[in-house]
Amino acid sequence: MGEDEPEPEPLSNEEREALRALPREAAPPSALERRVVRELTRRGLLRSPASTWRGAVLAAGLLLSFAAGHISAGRSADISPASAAGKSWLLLLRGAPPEDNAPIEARIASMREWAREVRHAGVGIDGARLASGAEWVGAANAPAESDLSGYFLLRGVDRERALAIARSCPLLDWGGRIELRRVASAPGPS
Amino acid sequence: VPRAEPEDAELVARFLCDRSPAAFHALYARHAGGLFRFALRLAGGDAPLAEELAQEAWVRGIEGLPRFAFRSSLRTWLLGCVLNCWREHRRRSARTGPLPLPEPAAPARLPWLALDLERAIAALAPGQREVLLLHDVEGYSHTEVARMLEIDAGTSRSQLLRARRAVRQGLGAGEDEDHGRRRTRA
Repeated sequence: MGEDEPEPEPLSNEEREALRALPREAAPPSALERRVVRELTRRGLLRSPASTWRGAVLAAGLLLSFAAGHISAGRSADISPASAAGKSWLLLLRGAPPEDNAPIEARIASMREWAREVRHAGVGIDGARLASGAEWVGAANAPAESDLSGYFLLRGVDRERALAIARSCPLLDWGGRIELRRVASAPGPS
Repeated sequence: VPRAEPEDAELVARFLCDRSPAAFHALYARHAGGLFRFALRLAGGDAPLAEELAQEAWVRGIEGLPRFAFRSSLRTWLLGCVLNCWREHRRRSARTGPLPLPEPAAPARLPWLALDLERAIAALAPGQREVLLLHDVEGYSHTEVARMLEIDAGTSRSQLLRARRAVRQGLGAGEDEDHGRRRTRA
């Protein structure tokens, strides 16, 4: 880089300094990397995160992504009990991303950004992490370990929308999977 | 022509070896901020458009990475991808004239002069903005700007001259408005 020949109206020192002082970087939205990774994976330019998933590493990455202990994108006050009845969906987050796919900070940011986007779209969403170490009660043939690592509860959406929301969850990019269940009855005292 | 940084070469080699999300993240983390700022300025502060440009630029950049021979820096290569996406967007859209004023990402941390400067740059005609950003902000020579924009160096010079005049005029108008407001308050 440099100058080829003298400029007809060169910059003054003050102008040059002002231009030089302009920020060279701006942090892009955290969701951008997720979208790029998804597109690169789709085009076969990036190895699928799922292909590097080590099944033995249960819960670790995802549980950390719920580092605060409880991710909540805020309650949607617009959803009345009547409209929510029969329209609540539970997203059971299963499997866990491998530890070395991307820094955990990126996953935390991605998951929070995703939950924010869902909330901004007008959907009531809450979520929580589940600690590792399932304890089984009354199950004679219970598996040794559960791969359930967290959940989200969506309120006031139909099945198609719940499915679309589930499909957009970054957990899928990391090799995890989501079990979608409709909440059959409204929780809480009647 | 800027020399390739060994760190970038190493990151690229690692990525091309395994194409893992982790290797991509290393490249992304290093250049995403610069790319996005450049896209944001090209787009005149239109953040959704800048995101679109940056996303497509990353995809194209990664797609073309096996052919990248480090004859320029990786940053230059990636900025070139942003530039191509931007110019295609311009061709696709019928949008002409000044774009919306920018909303800098962190206005509170920018001194007033920088804010005015960003606005003045955003108000430039797209062709002038491209040349001024590449030459005066990114520091490329007219020869390099000409190559990147596929114009001749003379056009780059004349565009820069007009761009600088317009920015000076824009900043002058801003100062006049400030003086006016101060006089009104007094």
